[in-house]
Amino acid sequence: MKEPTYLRPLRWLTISIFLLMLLVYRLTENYLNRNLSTSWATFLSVTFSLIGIAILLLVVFKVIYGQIWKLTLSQKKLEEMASLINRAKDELEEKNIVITQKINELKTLDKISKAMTSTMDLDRVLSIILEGVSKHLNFDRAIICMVNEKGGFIEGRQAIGVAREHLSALRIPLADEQNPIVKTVRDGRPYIIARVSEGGMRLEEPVSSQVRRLGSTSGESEAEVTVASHSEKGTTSSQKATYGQIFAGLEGRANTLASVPLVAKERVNGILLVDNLHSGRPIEEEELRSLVTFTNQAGLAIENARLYDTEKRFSEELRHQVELAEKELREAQAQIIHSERLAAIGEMSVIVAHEVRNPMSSIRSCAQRVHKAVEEEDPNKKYSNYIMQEVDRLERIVKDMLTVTRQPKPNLVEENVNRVIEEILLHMDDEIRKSGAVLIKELNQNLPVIPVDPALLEQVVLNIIQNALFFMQGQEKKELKIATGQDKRFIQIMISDTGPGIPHHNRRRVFEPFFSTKPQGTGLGLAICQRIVVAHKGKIELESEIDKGTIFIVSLPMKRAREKEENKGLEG
Amino acid sequence: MIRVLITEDEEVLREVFKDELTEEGYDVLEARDAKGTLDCLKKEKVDLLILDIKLPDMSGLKLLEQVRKGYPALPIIVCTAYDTFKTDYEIWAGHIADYIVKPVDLEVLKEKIARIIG
Repeated sequence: MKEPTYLRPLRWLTISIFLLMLLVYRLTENYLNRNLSTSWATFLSVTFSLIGIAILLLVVFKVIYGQIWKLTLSQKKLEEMASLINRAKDELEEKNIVITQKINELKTLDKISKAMTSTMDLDRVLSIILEGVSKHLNFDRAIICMVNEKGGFIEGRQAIGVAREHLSALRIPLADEQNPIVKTVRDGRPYIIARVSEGGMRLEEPVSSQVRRLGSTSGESEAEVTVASHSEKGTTSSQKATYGQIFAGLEGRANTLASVPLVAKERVNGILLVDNLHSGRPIEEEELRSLVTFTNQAGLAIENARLYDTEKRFSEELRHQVELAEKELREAQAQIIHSERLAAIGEMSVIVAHEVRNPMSSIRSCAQRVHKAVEEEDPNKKYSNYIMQEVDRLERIVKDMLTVTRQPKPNLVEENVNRVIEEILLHMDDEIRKSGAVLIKELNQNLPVIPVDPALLEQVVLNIIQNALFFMQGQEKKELKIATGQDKRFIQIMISDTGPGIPHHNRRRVFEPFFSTKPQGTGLGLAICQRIVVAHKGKIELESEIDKGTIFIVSLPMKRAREKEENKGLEG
Repeated sequence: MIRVLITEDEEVLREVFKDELTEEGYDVLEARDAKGTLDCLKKEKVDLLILDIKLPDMSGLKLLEQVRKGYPALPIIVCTAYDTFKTDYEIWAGHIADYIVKPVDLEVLKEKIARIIG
């Protein structure tokens, strides 16, 4: 143990005092020897006393000195300890801050994770992820791209801070291995991407091994990363395009972009691209680390949503199929009921028709004989005529009933539809004129002949025109328009009126047998029309506008289409 | 004089037909069922048969068969209330002279008779 330097003069001081005392004593002795006779015993006792005092003093000093020294030493130790403690405290505080940050980060992550798993809707999950990235991880812009393995490309799905058109234009083919974003998918680990002067992008730097480890799915060697970081062999057109889409509107601003894979079960479902567009702040490693921790969670949430979506789509598809089958079944059932009903009516009508026709025949023949017997001037002649007319009307009703319940069998001949229409218009000339309706004909003169049963087609046109005339009664504008036309497969007959129009709920029903809104209608006219047109393998449709009028469109197939249908039927 | 046999179960119709055809100068015989028809054909010489296809005691078609067998040369006009007879006629075309659907227009009936007797 070394004595402190400041104690040294104290030792010399003690020795000096001792020597001084010895000198004083010698002087005193000389004086006393001269004046007094003193014994050697006295001298010795005094000397030893003095020596004793000196030794005592020395011991006292030594003890004091030792104590002081020890004190100084412990003080020094204390100081050292204090500085150590201070240092530890600083470190602790630093760690505390880091831990608090980490806790906050984890809390945020937990919050976002909960939010992410609270929904199974992929778009909702993506928007929660984006919100988390921008709000809690403080990135200005974020884009989520989804990998479309089937289509072989990566496409922008959702974004924050990116215009919709840029997002939808963002589509990178997976085949472009040089594209840094494709690389992120292929390697399954994050990269920082920087723009390069020639308008493309490059991987600027490999992210630290810690970040890589967090993001990667398996342990990859450093060498691979180095290769990846130097794989900038010029820019491809796809890169330029991607660049344009991602960095759109950012000319002249230095920017780096972090590209982080969204991984789940060793599968990259998507890519999260983030940058600090507005602040221009470069992306730091710490931020990227948080981001990767976050995307690990996000990847799982996306995978869950994706699986759920697949499941949901599958079950929806299934449900749709079931619904469709159910609907078909219902329709088939309705069809069966309808045909059964028609068959029953058919049977009934045949019996009724026969029973009714006998008395009708008697009435008609009697009336005919009366009519013949009555003189021309006799007013009764008019009545006998009425009887015959009414019987004929009855006969028409009976016939309609029989027709509607029976599948019409058209006797097809090659005929021009216009000619059939002209014929029926000639017959109806009187009726139309009496109704006060203006007849407009727009017949396409270039129509080819098609296979039709002229008698049945006449009935169709007649029924529609008679309806039109009936419903235009009392209308201010009475315009009956008949037009013909053709497209690739069909010839159309359009018959329109300026009647009151058919209410929406009745539009489907007008073709039902026995549905009528006419006071004396049998509800068979349009049903027969439909059956005749269907028997021609054509279709009958209507368009109607309340207070404007109704148009019936009869489409009849041209020969080629018909043969095709028949061939199909034969093949089937 | 041409002799026409009307087989019709509808009395009014039968009477009207008879009156009309008698006026027209035909000798008209009547039968109301199959039995009457066959009896009449046995007794009298008939030039034309107007036959209702639906009779109370026998189906008109069955009667038609029997008449056809017994009197192969006798011209027959089938009178029917079934307008489907138009299609059935193709089957009967070789066996009957013509057909007429009720309600009958007397003028049409007379035309048909005149044409067959010709």
